[in-house]
Amino acid sequence: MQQRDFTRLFRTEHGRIVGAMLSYTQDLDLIEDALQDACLQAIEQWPSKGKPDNLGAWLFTVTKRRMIDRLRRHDYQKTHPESQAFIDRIQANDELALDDNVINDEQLKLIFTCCHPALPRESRIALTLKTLCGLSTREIGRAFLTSETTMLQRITRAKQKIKRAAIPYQIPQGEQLSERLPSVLEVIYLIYNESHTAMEGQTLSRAELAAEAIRLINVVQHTMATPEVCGLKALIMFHEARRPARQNDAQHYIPLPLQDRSLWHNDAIAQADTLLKASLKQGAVGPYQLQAAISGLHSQAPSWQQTDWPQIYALYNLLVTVKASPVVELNQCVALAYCGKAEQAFSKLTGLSESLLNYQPFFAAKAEIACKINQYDVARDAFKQAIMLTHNQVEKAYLTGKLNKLLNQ
Amino acid sequence: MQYMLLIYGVEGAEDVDMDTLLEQYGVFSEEAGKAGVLISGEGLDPVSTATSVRVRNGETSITDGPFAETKEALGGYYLLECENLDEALSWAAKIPSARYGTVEVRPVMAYE
Repeated sequence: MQQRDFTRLFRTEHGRIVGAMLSYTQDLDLIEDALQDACLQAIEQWPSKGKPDNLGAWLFTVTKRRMIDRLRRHDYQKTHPESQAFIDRIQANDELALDDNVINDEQLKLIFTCCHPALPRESRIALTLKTLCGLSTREIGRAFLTSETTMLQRITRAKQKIKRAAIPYQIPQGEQLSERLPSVLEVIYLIYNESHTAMEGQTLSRAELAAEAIRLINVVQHTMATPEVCGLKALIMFHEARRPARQNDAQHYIPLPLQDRSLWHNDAIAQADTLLKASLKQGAVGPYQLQAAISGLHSQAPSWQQTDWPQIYALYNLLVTVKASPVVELNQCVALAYCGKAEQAFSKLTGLSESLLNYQPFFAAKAEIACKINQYDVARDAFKQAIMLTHNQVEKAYLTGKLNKLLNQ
Repeated sequence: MQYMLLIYGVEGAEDVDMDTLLEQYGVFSEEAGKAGVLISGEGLDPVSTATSVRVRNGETSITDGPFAETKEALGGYYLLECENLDEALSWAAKIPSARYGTVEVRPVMAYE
C-alpha cells in the first residue's frame, strides 16, 4: 500500500473513529494519540502481514486497544482517576460495532464544539480540519497559507480554551441551536471555498479538501436538514459538479467562461437542483440558498452565452439584502452588465473601488464592463491591473489575450 | 464551575430609564437565584467614583479614576455557578445591559 493510500484511508476513517471514540471519553488528545498509534501499527504491519478485509473496523479495534494501553499508563492514571471507568466501558463494548447514527451524532457534537463562537474564527476552521478530518497541521497550514507553527499554536490554544472555559461537547439546546448553526455552516463554507482557490503550488489536493467539506455538510444534513443546511449542500454540489472542467492537465485553473461544459456532472447538478427546490418550499430563503440558486443557474446554462443573467441579477438583488459585502455587490455589477445595462453597472462598480483594492476579480470585471461601454483606455488599464494580480497561468493568458486584442484595435 | 460575568457599558447609554433598568436587574437576579446559579452580583457606582492603586518598588501610588480610560466602563458583575460555558453564555445574554453594552464571561480559576 502506498503512503498516499494510507493517508487517504486514514483521513477517511479519522472523523468516524474519533466520533465513535468520543462516545467513550471526551479527552480528544488521548483519542488522537491512540488513533495515531493505530495508524503507525497499520503502516508497520500491513505491508508484511497483509491488509485486513475491513480496514475501518481494524483501525477502530486497534485504536480502542491502544487507547486502553494509554489509559493504563501510570502517569495518566495519576492525573485522571476516571480512567479505569473508561477502560471498563471500552472493554464492555468491545464486541459492539457502533452504528452509523451514533457515530454521526458524535461527529455532529464535535463540529458544534469546534465551531463554537467562543473560539477565534481561524481556530474553528483549523480545529475542525484537525479533529474531524484528520488533516495534519502542516497540511492545514499550507491550505491556508499559514505556517505550521502558527496553526499548531491556534489549535493548541483552542483546545485549551475548550477545556478551561468548559465549552461543552454537545449539540446546542433550544434557541442556542439556531444561533450556533450559522457558525458551523460558515466554517464548512470556508473550508469548501479554500478548496476552490486558484492558488497554484498547493500540495494538498483541492479535491481532498472539497471532499472534507462535503463530508462535513453531510454529517450536519443527516440530523438537521434545515433550509440553509440544504442550501449550503446544494451550493457545494453545484460547484463540485463543475470540477472536472475546472482544471486542465497541468492543474491550472480554467475560469467559468472557458470551461468545457460537457465535462460537468449533469446528474449531480440535477440532484442539487432537486435538493435546492425542496429547501425553498419551506418558506424562508437564506444566503446559502440564494448562492446555490445562482450557482445552479450557471451550472444549468448550456453555454456561457446562454447564461440566464436577468435571473442571476435578480438573485443578487436578494442576496445583498441578506449578505451585503463588496464582493457580492461586485458580482451583482457583473450580472447587471451582462443584462445589457453596462453603463449602470460601470458607475456602480466604480463606487466599489475603495473596498476592493488589489482584488483581482474587481479589475477583471472592470475591464470587461469598460469594454462594453467603449471606454477602451479604462479597459486597458484595468486589464493590466488584473493581469498583474492574477496568479494562475490560464487566466493570465486569457486576460493577456483580451488585452492584446484591445491594443491591436 | 464558576463564571464571572463582567458587565461593561457606556455610562449614560442605557436604552431605558434607571428605574426600569434596576427593575429588570431585579428580575434577572431573582431568576438566577431560583435557578440555583446565582452566587453573588452587584452594581457598581459610576466610573467617576473609582480610585486606582498601584504599588511599585514598595511605593504606593493612588490615582483618581479607573485602571484605564475605556469607552465602555465596568458597571457591575455576577458570579454564577454553571455546568458549562453555554449555560453561562445564555445567562449573560439575559443581563439587561447586554442589550447596549458587553458582558464578558470568564471562568474563575479552579485550584486542584
